[in-house]
Amino acid sequence: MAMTGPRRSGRSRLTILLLVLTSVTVLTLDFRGVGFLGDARRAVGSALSPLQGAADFVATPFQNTWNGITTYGELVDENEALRTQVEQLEGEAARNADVAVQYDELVSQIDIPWVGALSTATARVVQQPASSFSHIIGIDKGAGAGIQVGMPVVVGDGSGLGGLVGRVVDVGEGSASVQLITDPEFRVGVRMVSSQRFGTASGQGVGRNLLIDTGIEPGEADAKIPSLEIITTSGIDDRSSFPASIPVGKVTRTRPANGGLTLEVFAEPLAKLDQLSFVSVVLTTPVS
Amino acid sequence: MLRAARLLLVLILVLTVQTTWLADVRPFGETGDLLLLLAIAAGMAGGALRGATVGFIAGVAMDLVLLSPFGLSSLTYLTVGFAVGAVHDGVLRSAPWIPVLVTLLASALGILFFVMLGQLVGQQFRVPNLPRIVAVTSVMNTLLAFPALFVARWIEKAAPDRMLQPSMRGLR
Repeated sequence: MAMTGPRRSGRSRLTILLLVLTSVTVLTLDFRGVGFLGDARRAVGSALSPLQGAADFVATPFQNTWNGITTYGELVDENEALRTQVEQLEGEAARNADVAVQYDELVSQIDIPWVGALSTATARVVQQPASSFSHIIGIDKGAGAGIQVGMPVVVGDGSGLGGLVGRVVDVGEGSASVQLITDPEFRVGVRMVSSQRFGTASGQGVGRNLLIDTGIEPGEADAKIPSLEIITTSGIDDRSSFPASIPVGKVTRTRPANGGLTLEVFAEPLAKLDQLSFVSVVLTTPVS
Repeated sequence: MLRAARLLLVLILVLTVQTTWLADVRPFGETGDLLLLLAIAAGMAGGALRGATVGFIAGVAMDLVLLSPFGLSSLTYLTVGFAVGAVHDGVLRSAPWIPVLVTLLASALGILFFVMLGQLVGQQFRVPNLPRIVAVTSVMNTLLAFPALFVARWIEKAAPDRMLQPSMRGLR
């Protein structure tokens, strides 16, 4: 009996040591790209899918009520803004034909070939990021719809522009995972439409603007970047994983960085990432 | 066996809630972490070994739904579960605020530990967001501390008497 305590204590230590070793081993295997971990994730995703659907079905009325309560002030403001907008639009109705022509010209000028030129697969967003550190959403289309890892995901905003949402990072037969552009690990080559500057945009977390490393020196003659300038994917060479000219964001501010040697540009994503219900996967051939 | 069945049932429910309802409820853009809370509650209800074991299993479950490095959550949660169990065994349990305080502190430290481990294995986190994530997750977890403790005790009560912590034997 006197041995029970120490024996149990020893067994406990052994168990905990085994658990730690297992975690570290799995972590190492994941970094080595062992395939079965991805399969396990997809299997669990498929198994949880019906439960998640049922949970969403149950929660929807409560969520709508909650959103109505918590965003009542915003709804009032939005309603007021929409009324104003409707009045403006009514006043501009006569100019619509002209605006349409101008819009076509604008599209051709800023060169957005993915609008109507590339085939897309529209998918419903079925899973929001599962934790505060996750920037991955789930969609209900996968390999069966022609989706592959690396394809860009976009969304419209009703005004014909919209923008880049992210990149497909995992694909199952009927579902896929999309890495949002706010993910700190997300990188994309971008081009500034009017100044024709190139850079690399990276995510900075939820609710934060993208950071664009331009390599521009603040002292350069044309270093001034217009506020609200649109940035698009650059598609600059064969190594770029995205086609050119997918709208990404609009410039909000700039600041000197690296001791004043370079200029950092911040851009607000054009896609409203907190309101995603449907997205479109651009069915391009991803570059490996 | 019954305890494992109860744990499995709770895990599936918690994972479903985490990926659906909780993923949609995002005060200040952040959300709670029910799997971490489960590890903390298991540590308080069953001691260090149970905290570590449940933390490991909960972490694996979380790793299966996140695309972060596999093993990061399990290593974090098992450490938190173990630490909570070890600390909680050594303090008076009668005060009702202790689970609240333990959950608040353990959640905050758990997130910081997760970030630290993540940085070690090359994950990129944005430090400016960290205080907000720590605050929101800790508060949300703390609000759910008592229901989580109740569930953890319900799981532990299914264990044979010889496996229970001395404090749990009176709860039968």
